Amino acid sequence: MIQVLVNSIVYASEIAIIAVGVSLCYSILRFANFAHIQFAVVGGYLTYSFATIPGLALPLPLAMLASAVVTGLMAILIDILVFSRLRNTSAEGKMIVSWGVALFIRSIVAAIYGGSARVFDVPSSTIVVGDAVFTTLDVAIACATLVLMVALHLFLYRTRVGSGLRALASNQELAVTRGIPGDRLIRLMWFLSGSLAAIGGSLIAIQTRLQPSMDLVILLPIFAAVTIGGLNNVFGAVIGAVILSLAQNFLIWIDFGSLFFGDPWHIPTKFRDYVAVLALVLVLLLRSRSSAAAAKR
Amino acid sequence: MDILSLKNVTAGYGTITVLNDLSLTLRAGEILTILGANGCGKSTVLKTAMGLTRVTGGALALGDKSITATPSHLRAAAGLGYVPQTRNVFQDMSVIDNLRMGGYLRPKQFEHDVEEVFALFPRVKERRRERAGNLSGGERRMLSIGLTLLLKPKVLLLDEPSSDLAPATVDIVFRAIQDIHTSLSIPILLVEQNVNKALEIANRVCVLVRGREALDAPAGEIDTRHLHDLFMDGGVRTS
Ligand SMILES: Nc1ncnc2c1ncn2[C@@H]1O[C@H](COP(=O)(O)OP(=O)(O)O)[C@@H](O)[C@H]1O
Ligand SMILES: [Mg+2]
Repeated sequence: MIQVLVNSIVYASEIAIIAVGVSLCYSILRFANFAHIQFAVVGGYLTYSFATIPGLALPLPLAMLASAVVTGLMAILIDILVFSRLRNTSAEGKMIVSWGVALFIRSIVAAIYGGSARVFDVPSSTIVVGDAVFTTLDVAIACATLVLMVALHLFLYRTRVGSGLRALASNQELAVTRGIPGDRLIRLMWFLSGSLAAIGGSLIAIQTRLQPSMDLVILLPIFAAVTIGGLNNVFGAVIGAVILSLAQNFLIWIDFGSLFFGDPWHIPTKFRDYVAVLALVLVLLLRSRSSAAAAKR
Repeated sequence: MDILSLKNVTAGYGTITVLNDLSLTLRAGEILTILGANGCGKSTVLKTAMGLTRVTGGALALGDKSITATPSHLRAAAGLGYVPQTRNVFQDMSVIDNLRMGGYLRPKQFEHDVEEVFALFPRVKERRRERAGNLSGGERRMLSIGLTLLLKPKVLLLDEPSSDLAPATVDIVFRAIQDIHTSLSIPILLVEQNVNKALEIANRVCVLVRGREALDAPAGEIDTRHLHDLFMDGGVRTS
């Protein structure tokens, strides 16, 4: 039980850091950016490079920081080259272009790093609490996420520039006519979401391994988390990640066999993703129900 | 002296042209009211002044500086205070955060300036912790004007400040506008549907018909029957 909870928290942390960037972008530019997943992959690879290139070999936290900065700048560059030219295009148009950008980044990553998996060599010791076993790395991941999310919250709600971002998300025309520099803040938004994705991608890579196909593994949970949490609030994505992660881990943990038939039987782990799909469908169904009900009122 | 001027401006949205070769000047110290039927382009004049439309011809100037190509946020910084007709508050932010955003360019003076807004609209102070989306129509209108004042504008552009308000609230809002005009002595470009109120407060009136200027005269010389004729194709209240 505690074990499942710990697993859920660690998994939710990794998803949440990446997912907030999707909602940050959506809140201001109103489109689902599928290239965001690749920011996470690129971030993972850059961290690997910064940590392993002979002569550089930065300690892991510094490598992640450098990767976050570079990925953030890359997100800005992509906006300048691609998305800024599409500001008046429909949301669907931008979404489709973002798939194109994603495929482009993916092929560049594959060309540079090849397809084989890389593993981070992280010293980590095991902690045993009751019958739950987890590592110092798990603890570090959960703490890093907590710190980052609190910092992001403080930035958005306690600083002038952060409030400017919220104003821009709330009402763009009103914001810029108050003197809020929209273009500059949009660039800041790209930097934030790019670098958060890089940190999230690095954490996933450190905990599992680095592969170009990692994008397909995280695509579903991230967009499921964003959808479950609702796109109206940046931190909805965090809540979505927690709900999704708990649902996935607990459904796999529950011994449905003993519950109904007497013999132990679990939902196979490979069905984890189906839980995400199921949650996604449920949320969409419920939401269309409730918005239909709201429309009737 | 000319404060804000549009010279032969042609502007619209995307491929649609709304304003046709329109010239209009707001002079120092005056309230200029733009009247016109629904959809004739009154709001578009103000949006064009703020850089929110696509301008395909003509020139705009603030004082003696051209602002034709100036981005919206720099027009605000240059002193244009704009209160839109709709969507004029940040719905999902608190009232106090709305005011903070109004004073985005003057963060150091905020604590002092906001008291002036509270003095003008005590109701806004009472509601400062509320989410702006939960305010009543009148409160929202006061907030929208108040947050614009925090910019310390040199010119005020008001888009139908009396629309959709109860008569008592209309009086409060117009009294506040008069107050702002005299105490801060800033010129105001006012778009109104309420002709009588507009004539009461304005120094000069300009009537738009389908994106062109059809009449420009001192408020005292306006003949309401003549106005009626200009509005034949749109229902404007003169009562
Ligand atoms: N964002 C927009 N996109 C396209 N057309 C618009 C937009 N806003 C207004 N219009 C059109 O421009 C014309 C003038 O609108 P507007 O300036 O709002 O009129 P008014 O304020 O005088 O009622 C109308 O025909 C309206 O349909
Ligand atoms: Mg209008």
